[in-house]
Amino acid sequence: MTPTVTKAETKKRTSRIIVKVEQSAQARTAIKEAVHLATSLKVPLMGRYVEDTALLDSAALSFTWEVSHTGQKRKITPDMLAMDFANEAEQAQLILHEMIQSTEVDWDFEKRQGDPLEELVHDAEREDLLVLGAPDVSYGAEEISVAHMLRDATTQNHLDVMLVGGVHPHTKQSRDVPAPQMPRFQGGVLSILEQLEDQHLEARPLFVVDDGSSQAEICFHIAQHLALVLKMTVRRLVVTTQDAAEIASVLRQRGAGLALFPAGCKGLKHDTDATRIARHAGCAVLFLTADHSADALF
Amino acid sequence: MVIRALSPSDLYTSCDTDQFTFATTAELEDLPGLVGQERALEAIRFGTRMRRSGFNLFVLGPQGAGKHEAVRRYLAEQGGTPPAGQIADWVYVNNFDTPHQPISLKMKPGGGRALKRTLSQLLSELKIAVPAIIESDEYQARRKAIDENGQSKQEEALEALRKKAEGMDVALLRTPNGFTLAPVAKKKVLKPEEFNALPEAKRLKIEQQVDELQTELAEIFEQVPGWEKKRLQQVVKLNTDVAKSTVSVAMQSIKNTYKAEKEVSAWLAQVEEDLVKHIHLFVEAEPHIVSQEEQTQQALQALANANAQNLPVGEQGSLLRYEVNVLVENTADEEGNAPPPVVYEDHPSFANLVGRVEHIAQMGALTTDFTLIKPGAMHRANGGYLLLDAERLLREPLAWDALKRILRAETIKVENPGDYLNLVSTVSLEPAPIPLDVKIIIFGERELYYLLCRHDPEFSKLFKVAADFDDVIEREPENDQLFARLIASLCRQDNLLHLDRSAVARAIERAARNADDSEKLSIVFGPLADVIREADFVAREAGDTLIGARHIEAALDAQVHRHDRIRERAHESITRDIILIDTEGTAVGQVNGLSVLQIGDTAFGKPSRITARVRMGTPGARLIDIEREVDLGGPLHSKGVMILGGYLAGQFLPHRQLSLSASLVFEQSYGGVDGDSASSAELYTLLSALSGVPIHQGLAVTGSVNQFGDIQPIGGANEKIEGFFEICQQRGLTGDQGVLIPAANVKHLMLRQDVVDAVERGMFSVYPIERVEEGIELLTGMRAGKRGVDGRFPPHTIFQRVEERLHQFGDASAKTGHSGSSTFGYR
Repeated sequence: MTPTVTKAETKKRTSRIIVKVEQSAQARTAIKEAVHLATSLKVPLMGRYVEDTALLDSAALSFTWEVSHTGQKRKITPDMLAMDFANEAEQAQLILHEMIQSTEVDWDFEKRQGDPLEELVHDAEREDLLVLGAPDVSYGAEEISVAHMLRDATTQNHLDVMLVGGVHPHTKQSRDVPAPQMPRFQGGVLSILEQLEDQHLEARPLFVVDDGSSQAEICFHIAQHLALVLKMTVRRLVVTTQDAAEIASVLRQRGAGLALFPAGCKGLKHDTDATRIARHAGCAVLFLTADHSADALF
Repeated sequence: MVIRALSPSDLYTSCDTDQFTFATTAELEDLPGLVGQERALEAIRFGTRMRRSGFNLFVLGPQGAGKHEAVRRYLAEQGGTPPAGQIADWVYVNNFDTPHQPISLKMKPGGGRALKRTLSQLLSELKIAVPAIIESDEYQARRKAIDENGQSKQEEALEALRKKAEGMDVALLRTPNGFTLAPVAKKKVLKPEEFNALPEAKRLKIEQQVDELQTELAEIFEQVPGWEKKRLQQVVKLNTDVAKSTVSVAMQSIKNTYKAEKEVSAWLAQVEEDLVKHIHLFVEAEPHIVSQEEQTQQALQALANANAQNLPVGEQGSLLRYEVNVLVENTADEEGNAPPPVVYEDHPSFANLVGRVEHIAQMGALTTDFTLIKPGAMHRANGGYLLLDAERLLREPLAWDALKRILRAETIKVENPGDYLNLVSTVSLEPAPIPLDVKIIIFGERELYYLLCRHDPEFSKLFKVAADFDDVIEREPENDQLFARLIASLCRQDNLLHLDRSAVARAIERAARNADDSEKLSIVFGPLADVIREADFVAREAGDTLIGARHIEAALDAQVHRHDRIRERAHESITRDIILIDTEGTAVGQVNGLSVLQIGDTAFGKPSRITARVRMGTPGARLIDIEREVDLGGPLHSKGVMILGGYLAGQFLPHRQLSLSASLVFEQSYGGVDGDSASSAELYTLLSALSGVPIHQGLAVTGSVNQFGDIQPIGGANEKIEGFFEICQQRGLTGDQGVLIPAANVKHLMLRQDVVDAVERGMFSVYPIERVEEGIELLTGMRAGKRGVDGRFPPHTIFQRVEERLHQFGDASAKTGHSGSSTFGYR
């Protein structure tokens, strides 16, 4: 990973969204969220597809095979892989085009070679917002890679990152549709008073995860502005636990439409907690750096 | 023999206004029911109460006789209430086992709508309850455990493989289509040149390790479907457990409500079972992003699935499987009783009678389901009465057959006409038949009834009760009073001005004229009601507050005038001598016959010149009916002419063959001639031609004759007299003009006032004739003659001359050597 921007004295405002595009279901959801955000914030969108050079290197070895998800083995060559990459890039661009064509968003698409995560951060400006799909299942290295990229991008490159997991597969919740609210009370994460307020929510709320830090307070102010643009209501989620699963569960049960976390939130004990929350919260999770002014994300 | 002309009082029987004690009809009470239809009403009473198979009613009688009104009023006022339990609601519901055969359920009155409401509430509850339960902590925890358990197996296997590979300096990498394994050094995948730079032993070892790892990786993925299947089974079991519990709780009260109704309970059990199977219908999946092509594919797939199950497509459509299609709905009173339905089907087409299955176009294909079953009149009338018009019913293709089949089977099966005729064999619905308990009441004219009796063997078995409405009642003071009340009812019902006594009397006289009988009243009230309505219009136009006799007269005149164009043209052609009719002078072998032309609702009399020519013929000679020869004569007319042959032979030459050839013709008749009402005129013409005695052309003749010379009554006497009178009047009445009518027709006379007036002034005469002898004497002024003891007619009589002429023909025929043995006949 190549840091391109050092921490600056000035407060930043988001000026571009870079989304990692692929054919996978998570990538599609990420693209959809990125398009929605770019439309609302009226900022340009860059779709970036990266051909993994490590894979190309491995394909050049005579003994490496590709094992498909159905267990089929196939000998691959660099040419075959290059063709697969080309097809995937074309499809990914098509998906992006289909989603963005009805908007007025200024957009671009580029294809690169290298490490997919490093190349996402590479050349990124500190005013850029990165959007990518959270790993659907924890295949060890992949989840760790994403978690490390998130950590490095937010702390070293001062980039905002949004992880988009699949919304909960067993409910009909989406940001546009109010989720059914059933009376439910539980201790630990939320105060009773806040739970009662939530019984009257009319739209899916934007939750700001408050770990008690000043950064969280800035997040809350930014969230209020963001909510106006996205036509959402804002709720503060005071975390008193370091259990990522519990935080994700509350977000999901409360029908969160978007969750804002201060980067390096105290509630996230392990590097992979961020990806786990993104996978299970049922909504996109935006990790904001400390560089924003208190009045605006954009 | 002196024949006296009829007096004016014989020509028109006035209604005595003194018999009425009221000043206007406003003082009279309404007349419930009908006048003089006791026989028909008794049949209706019997037919409606007799709830046995085949005892359906055919109400026959002329139009305007009040058949519909009588039946409806009877059913409304006097009931025919069927035994309790026969009035029912009927619903169609989904058959979950065989969706193309919807189930019919019988419910108590009002129960169909209640069941529909109940099911709707159930679905609403489940739409809230099921997602809530799915969202519940308990369910989510159990579901998460299953998912994670299933997922973790794969993850754990991959993680174990990844760690194992890591230990061997091999990385597990994602490709666009799966995974691959590659050697690494310092966490970087080795490039080919770096790998080739390794010692051979090392290279071989890595290759072997990668190969083993690839095999293991493939084995992991091969196990994934098995894990997924197991996970899905666990999810299904979880969902089934949750669904059973949720549905059972939601349906408990419904099942209790309907536990006494076995069929409904059985269906509700199916509903419960199906709800458990399809609980996912209450949880909409998260809409995900799909391409247009995928959307089309999904839509087509949904359509195909729906077609296969005969169910609507779409998420909303899926819940239609629990819909209740209320086919027949009755309203019950507080005690749960419902009056029997009385349904009149104005358009008794096949579909309107037996119901239909409608279709909806979806993506270019026609689909249907049990909610699209629509009831027919038979369904709506089930348990009550269905009223139909015979003529309309018979005009509709397939409707009559369908009606009979339903009555035979005593069940209603909803079919499309194509299925009924076995013309199409596409997959459609086969709704369960519904038991039928309905009384069919068909209205029709008499002719139609007797045609059906003769030509349809099933008709008499299915319609055993005939309610025959009479056309006329006796004209007597009591009935005059009833008639006045009937008029009063009409005035109130149609908000007409009331009639004074003179108008009532005129209306009654008109009813007698409509009956063509001075001693009867027509109770086909429709035409007279129209006259009264028109009289109301005339009176209101004149600013009057009561309808008087003059208004009735004006209305009648106006009605005649509107339809009078053809009569005027016909009479004009006579007065202008285009149609040759003499009304003065004498002529041999020529007489004025009278016919009636019926055009639409109007009828008028028209004179026709009938002529005869005679000559010697062969024995067994011919009497030529020219009308018949050119196919313009009907069978009744031919019969009349043949009777003449019998009369001539019997009267004049009982012991000798007739050697006569005679021709008879309606001059200037270019249309058909039927009926025997001119047979007496034809006989007079023949007698004149044979005797050579001229007939007075100022007289016209009507009446049929039998072989013995008796003059018999005919129809349309009033119109015929009036028709000849008009011609004479237009040419100028001489005082010698008149009409000879059968004496038996005198009681039918209700002539126009101008005719009566002319008779009173002695300018026109109407003669009642009983025998041919009377008629020929009146027409010729010569005695007919009566055969004396010597067997001969007196000299200088008509009959003597006729007999002599016939003998001359016979003698001449014998001299020419004709010796045929045939008798006088007709060809």
